Amino acid sequence: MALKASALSVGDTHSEVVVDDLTRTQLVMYAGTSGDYNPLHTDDVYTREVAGYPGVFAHGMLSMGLTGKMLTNYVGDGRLKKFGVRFTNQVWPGDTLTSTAKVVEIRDEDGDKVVELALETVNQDGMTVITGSATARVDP
Amino acid sequence: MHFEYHRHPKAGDVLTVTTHEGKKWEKESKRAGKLMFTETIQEFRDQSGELWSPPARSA
Repeated sequence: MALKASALSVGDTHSEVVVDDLTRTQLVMYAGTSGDYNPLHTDDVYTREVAGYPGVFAHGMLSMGLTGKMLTNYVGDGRLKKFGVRFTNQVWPGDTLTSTAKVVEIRDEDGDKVVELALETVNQDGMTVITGSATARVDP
Repeated sequence: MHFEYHRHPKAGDVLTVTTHEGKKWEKESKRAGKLMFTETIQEFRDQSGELWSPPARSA
């Protein structure tokens, strides 16, 4: 169902848990689907002993994709005009992520109603792992 | 990472991607010293040259 500008107010929020207890298997699945085989995401021995991190961690684009799941559930399919993020902290196996979109502006653009959203994804400790913004076309 | 979507792709479209460099900048990090950033801009155009998805920017 698509959003309606007439039913939206600045400050409205929508939140979803986008992943619960992220697994290493999901990191391997994302490596396969994206073609990004950087061993930092799949090879725990390399990541600990050579790269010096505590262990494998998620691809930034996996965090962005999970955030995008919340975003398209909220605005509807085929509605996005812009979607941008910054990766502010790493995401680890075992993390549970909650993504939130907040309405910051509703305006007219090229004859359409569009909504400007501020995005944030946090982990189970409340640490922000993604910040971003999106623009979506909505119904009048 | 930033995406701009211009229109929906249709079955049968032929998309061609071009890549060029965008901005470059540096930042001091307390943890890791000097950080160098470069921006890569990818533009996807359809068979008539119309922008389809990008610019996708990654730094």
